Amino acid sequence: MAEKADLILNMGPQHPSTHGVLRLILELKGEKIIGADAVIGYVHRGVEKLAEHRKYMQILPVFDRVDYVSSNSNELGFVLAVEKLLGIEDKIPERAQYLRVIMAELTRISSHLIWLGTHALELGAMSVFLYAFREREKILDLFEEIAGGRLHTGYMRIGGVAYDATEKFLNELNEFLEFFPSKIDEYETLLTENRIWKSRTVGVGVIDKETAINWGITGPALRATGCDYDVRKYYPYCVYDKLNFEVPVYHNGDVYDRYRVRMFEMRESVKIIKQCLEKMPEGPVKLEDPTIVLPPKEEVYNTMVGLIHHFELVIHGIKPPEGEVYAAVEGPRGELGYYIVSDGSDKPYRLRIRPPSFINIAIMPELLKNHYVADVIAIVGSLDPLMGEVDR
Amino acid sequence: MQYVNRELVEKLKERFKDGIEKVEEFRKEVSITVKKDILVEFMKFLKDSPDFGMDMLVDVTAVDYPEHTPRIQVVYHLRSLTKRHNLRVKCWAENEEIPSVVDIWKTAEWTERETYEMFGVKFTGRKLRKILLPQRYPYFPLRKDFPLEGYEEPCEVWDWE
Repeated sequence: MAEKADLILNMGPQHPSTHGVLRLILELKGEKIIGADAVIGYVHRGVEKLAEHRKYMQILPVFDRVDYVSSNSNELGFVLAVEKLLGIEDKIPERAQYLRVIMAELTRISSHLIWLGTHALELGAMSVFLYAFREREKILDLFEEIAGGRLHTGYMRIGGVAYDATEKFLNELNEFLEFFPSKIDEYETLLTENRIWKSRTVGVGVIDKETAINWGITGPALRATGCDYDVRKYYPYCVYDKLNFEVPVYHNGDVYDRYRVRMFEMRESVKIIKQCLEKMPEGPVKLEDPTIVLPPKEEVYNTMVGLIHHFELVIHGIKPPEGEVYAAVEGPRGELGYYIVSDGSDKPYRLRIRPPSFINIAIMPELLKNHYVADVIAIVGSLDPLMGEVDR
Repeated sequence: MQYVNRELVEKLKERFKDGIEKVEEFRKEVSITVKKDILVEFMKFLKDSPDFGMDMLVDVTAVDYPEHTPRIQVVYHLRSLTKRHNLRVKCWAENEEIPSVVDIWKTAEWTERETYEMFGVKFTGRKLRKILLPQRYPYFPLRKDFPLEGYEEPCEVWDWE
């Protein structure tokens, strides 16, 4: 770099606005950034290595903790990849497919709410944080009702989902869907036309479409640049091809548009869940195949066959054929892909997660250049990195 | 997920002939293994040819096969957003070196750094630093011979840059 920096500023890793442990080294010339570098890896746990040493069924809880605010999407991506590997993706009961979509969309809303709350808090709008977390709490209650867990639900299973929806869950979900759109209006009243909010976000951190695609950016950050790529529309999984929803696209590619995309997405998610509740058929929620799905507990305790199936599956695990697959879902942060290489044994030979946050924030050192220090927070926040997923 | 069709694969075979070592199809996913010396040319062709239009590099990773020489296979996932098709390109890293594709797709910037630190594959033609691990960490953890529990390390590996 020809220009010499006046000051090198170390931001993070413990900094409230870096969404975890992201460390940025900023080279400053006055208030302007002339060079930046990101240091990551503070919460690297070696998830991919762990997965190579576990049976397919045992891996699931590990992935809950990769992106710890949207565990359902992580699980969904993984079970879809394993099902593709096994060649059973068409045999999954329809009710389970709908329940998966409901959970994935609720997760998207809750993840966007965390993002909205913290992002607004960082930019000085204190009250939005409290509002957003109030509604998020309701979603966590719903998770608790159907899956037992609030953050790490462990709800998806290879071959279906763990539990059927209870009456109470459906009632509470309906109630939530009734009042939630009015809450989005509330957030928007606070922010969308707010002059301070707009002056902090409009025209800041602009990424154009070609650059975004070249850097492999996906999710809301890509859709704010005018590209309509969304895994749910391009390569529909579960029952997304039967549902009617819009993918929001804005064209400026700045922080403000990334905000608008996410707000729009929350409204669409509500629409998707409503349709799911209407269309969801009755029926089983798990595949009936003793080589893939554990039998119900009553059978294990009361019948010989159930006990044998349970024993076989726990001891020998699921054995997919040799081969390799890539399956992706649209997580709240972008395309979340799983690439599994199988050697025919009960453990994956290699499992690679394509982490959306990691790839989305790679552009940051370039993007931060020529911005002011105060804009760093807006830009980092708007890309919505989740360090658990960046470092894995 | 939709992958490139047979005609396009035939076209590639015609153009690159011996450069293509293997074409596999499993669960409708197409993987092409190419020789190292044509890798960059092959990737450029995939990006610029209107038939393929691979404008997005989805991911770069690697798989370790200790019994095979060379042992590391680098895997690229490519996608065309206009044609909506995908392709997996694989390449054996002879002498644990492979040319970088960062000039073609910027996605490789961080993903290649990660592949380097995890597998020890050197991507030539670019600046390469570790990204998740400490710079002086001497092992490559995703190789099969690295134990799950790791090695006990002296504190010197922690460099606070």
